[in-house]
Amino acid sequence: MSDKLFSAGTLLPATIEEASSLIMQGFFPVGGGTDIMVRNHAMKKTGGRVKSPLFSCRRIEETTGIHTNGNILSIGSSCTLSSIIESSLCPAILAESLLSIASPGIRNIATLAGNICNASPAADSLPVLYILDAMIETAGSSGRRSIPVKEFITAPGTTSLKDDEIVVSVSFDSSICHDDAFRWYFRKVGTRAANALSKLSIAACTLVDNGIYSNFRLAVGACAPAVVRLSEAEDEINGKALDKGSELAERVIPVYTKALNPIDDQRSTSDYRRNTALKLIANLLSEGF
Amino acid sequence: MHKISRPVNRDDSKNKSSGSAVYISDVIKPGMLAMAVKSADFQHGKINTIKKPELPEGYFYVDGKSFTGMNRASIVAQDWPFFAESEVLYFGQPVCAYTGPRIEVCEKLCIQTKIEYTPLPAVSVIEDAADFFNDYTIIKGNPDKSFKEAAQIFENQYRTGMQEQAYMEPQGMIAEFNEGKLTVYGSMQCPYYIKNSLKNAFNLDDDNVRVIQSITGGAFGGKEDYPSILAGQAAAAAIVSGKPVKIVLDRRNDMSVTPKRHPSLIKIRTAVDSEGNITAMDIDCRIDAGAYESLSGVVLERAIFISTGAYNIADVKVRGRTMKTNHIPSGAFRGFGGPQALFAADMNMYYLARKLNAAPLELKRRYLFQRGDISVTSGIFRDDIKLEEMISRVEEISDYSSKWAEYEKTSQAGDKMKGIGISFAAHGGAFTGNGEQEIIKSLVRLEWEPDKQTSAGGRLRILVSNVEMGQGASITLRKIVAEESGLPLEAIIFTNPDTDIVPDSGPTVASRTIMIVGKLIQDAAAMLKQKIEDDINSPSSVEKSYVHPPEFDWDEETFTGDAYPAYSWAVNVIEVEIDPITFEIKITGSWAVYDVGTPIDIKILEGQMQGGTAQSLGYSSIEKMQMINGKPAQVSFTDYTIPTTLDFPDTECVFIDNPYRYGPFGAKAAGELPNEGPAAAFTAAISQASGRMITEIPVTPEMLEEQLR
Ligand SMILES: Cc1cc2nc3c(=O)[nH]c(=O)nc-3n(C[C@H](O)[C@H](O)[C@H](O)COP(=O)(O)OP(=O)(O)OC[C@H]3O[C@@H](n4cnc5c(N)ncnc54)[C@H](O)[C@@H]3O)c2cc1C
Repeated sequence: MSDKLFSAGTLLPATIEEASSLIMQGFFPVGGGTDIMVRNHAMKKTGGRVKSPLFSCRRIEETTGIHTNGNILSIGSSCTLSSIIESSLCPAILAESLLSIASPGIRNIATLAGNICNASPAADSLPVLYILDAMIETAGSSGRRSIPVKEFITAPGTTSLKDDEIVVSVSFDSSICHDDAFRWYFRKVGTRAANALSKLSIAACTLVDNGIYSNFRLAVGACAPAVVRLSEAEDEINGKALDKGSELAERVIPVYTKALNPIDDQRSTSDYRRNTALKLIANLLSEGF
Repeated sequence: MHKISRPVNRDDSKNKSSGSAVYISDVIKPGMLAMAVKSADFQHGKINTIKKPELPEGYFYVDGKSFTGMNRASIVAQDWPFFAESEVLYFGQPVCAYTGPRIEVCEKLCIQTKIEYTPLPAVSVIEDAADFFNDYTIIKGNPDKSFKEAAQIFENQYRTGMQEQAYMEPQGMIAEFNEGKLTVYGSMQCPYYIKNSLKNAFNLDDDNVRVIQSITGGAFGGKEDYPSILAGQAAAAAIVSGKPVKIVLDRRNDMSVTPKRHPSLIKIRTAVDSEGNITAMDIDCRIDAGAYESLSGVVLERAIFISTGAYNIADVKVRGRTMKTNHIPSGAFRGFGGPQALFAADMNMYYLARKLNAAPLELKRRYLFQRGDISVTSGIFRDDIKLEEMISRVEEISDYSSKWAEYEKTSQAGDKMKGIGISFAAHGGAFTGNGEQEIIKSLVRLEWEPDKQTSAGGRLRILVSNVEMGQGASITLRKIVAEESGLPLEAIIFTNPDTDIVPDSGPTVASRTIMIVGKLIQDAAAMLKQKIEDDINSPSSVEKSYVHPPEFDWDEETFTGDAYPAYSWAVNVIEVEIDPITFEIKITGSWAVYDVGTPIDIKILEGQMQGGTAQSLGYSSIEKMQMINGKPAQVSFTDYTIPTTLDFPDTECVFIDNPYRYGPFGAKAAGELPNEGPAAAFTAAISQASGRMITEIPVTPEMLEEQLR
């Protein structure tokens, strides 16, 4: 391995090719390490698979920085949560969801790519990325792919990332967020005020023209093996009047009820997660945005 | 304010905040081995076989047979084995251990060790427990008669959960055995408990066991009991291997195997006469001791001795039992039985107020203890009790009564879910019952070392076995001696205790360090001052041992008399808001007034009160520790959520002036007091806000959702 890959004791490839070659040699990509560190420690104790050795993508130019290209906003996989939150290009709804993650110290080092690749049903960026129809841009020796976030995450803890690939960036059309008619909502119900994992979360956004919903989108986090977003319910709402919210709620709540399938665990109960998510949705619709 | 209350800089703040403090996990001894303990992955069963892997060169196996004395730790009772013998009684119980050069290898050997069990019936919760370790009954007055004559009888039951101490530094020990002498270093509250336990475990005499406290990063009671187990295990490994052995628990391991606060289930029947006066209570107090008795008997004593809370009830019958279940033995935790009993007692008064259509404060204040009243154990409250003054102060800062009236209207109308609660708490200072005079018999020593180079002409050394564990003992004990001797603070030396050097002044528990040990060193300082004045250039020393003030009477057989020499008091007010959709709870205000006698350092006390209140509010709300089939479900800080600075507001604290005649400069117990009252004030506030009578903590959004859905 060439010496230039090393800098201050960390493996730092400068190109996608170098990165995929490292993966093929058994290395794992790391962002801030805030998840890997915790996971590896637990794995060591239970005899599970430890992700080691690691390399960072932060010297690969394409993984850094936040850019726009027309309407498309692209966030490099090496960007920290704090840098994304502070960027003037970052829509408020995304910033709000990222601000709900962990604590300042962790946000200063953790990345959005890491949050996505964890593929945890409770990852707080995911509901917002689902409603923004975000694409995960990957690259590897087999070429480049652009995968909708919904397809990128295949099951709790697993993604469709191929063996030789890294995540290069996350992108979405942010023009809707700049529309005067844009309204958004994000709510995380966690175990405490900071450094807390989600019991459930809701992200929603819409355009409201003359009191009529269009482009309504809603996603529920931590209430099923994957984020729940239902076009059936969204179709029901689009084109309807904001002030008919209670009626709309009555119509779509059964749809969401069927789709939510939360678990009982050491942080909350299935009943609480389901009932609270449904109440938040009903309340959002009946109060209007 | 007494001049000793003025704050000074802590002597341990610099090394602890800069990271230069050396904790036990930082210590390396030449040739030192690592150690890992194999814990039972079974709740209750007879051990049939233990299949051990082959030992690599330089590795050793340790189990219950490695103890040349008894394989039982001495933690009040002598029943908890260092390693299981024929039977495993709880999930996580140590069965055996490996020691050797590399921790990874020791851990692997544990994973490779396979144990086969014959299952035995397991009991996981108090309700299902039939056996108990202790069964005590106390009677004050004539409760039978009052119940017979009662116009109304009310009955309710109260439940509190487990709580993890969550000290920052996990538990750790190093043991070495050289030329027949065993030396143990580690994170601990009670060096002499460990010393005595090791003497019994290895049949060693007094001169051949030495215990040295290392810098201790928090304890909260959690380092009162388990360090005796850990020290025994490390010592056995050091004796077997002939090398120094270190064991440090990582967080998950620590949370999985160490004792936590006793869950409780307390039933209270209350007799009320035809005029609406409370005449008697019949209290059935059960605490969940876990698999071994350990110190649960004493926790139970503290709970039942304060079982009517801060309220004077004329006729009382209390039965208390420590129930035997199959999980980690429950242990010491700041408050030691008090928080459970006070929660039940105070919530019961709230319940009675609701039943009798009275405002809670109005009912509660009619029964508050006053000087001259008789305690549950028929002791006498000899000192002034200033609860009325404390109520005025807390009203001034919190506006409790007008907020209560306002929320009473809004919560009835069912709009915003806001509530406010007030609670009263008492904490008996020092060891329970005859502990100080018959069991501990503290001895302290002060030594004068002349040194002409120093401006004071020498150094005065405090020799006690009480430890600095973050609570400020080091600086406050030094302040007491400085104030009494007239020497500058820099001339007073306090170092971590080493049992080869310090006398046994008792354990660092029960809020006794300042009140009891502080008084002894104050008296000794007065005597030594005389000697120094007579001859400043010669070394001199003074010893002082504890003498129980003669007016206090105690009968250990019948539990009658003065269970504690003095009580500290607290009034807490907590204000909450419940989100009507998610039932998330927000604490919007916290106020408290304390009577702890003279504060020895106002900053340190404020720290104790802020921290203790947050700890108690965590206990009441977000700190949920479930034992699922005897196995702790929350064993990391991801899942066991202790409060962060964002969760609760600061507590506005007031200290009233009420010096205690037998305390150093008038000081009495303080450290545990902030953990006693907040749970009931919080739960009363939640009850008002939700319109439900809440009788169980922790109060979680899940529980409220289930009740209010
Ligand atoms: C105390 C604490 C609190 C937390 N609170 C929250 C919270 O509130 N909400 C929440 O959602 N999460 C939380 N987390 C989890 C974690 O911090 C976040 O998921 C974070 O965004 C992970 O980012 P990272 O860069 O540190 O990931 P890393 O640990 O570096 O990586 C995570 C995973 O992503 C993979 N990966 C990283 N970068 C790439 C890449 N470029 N290409 C391919 N794969 C990649 C890694 O191989 C690994 O599998 C918390 C963690 C801690 C320790």
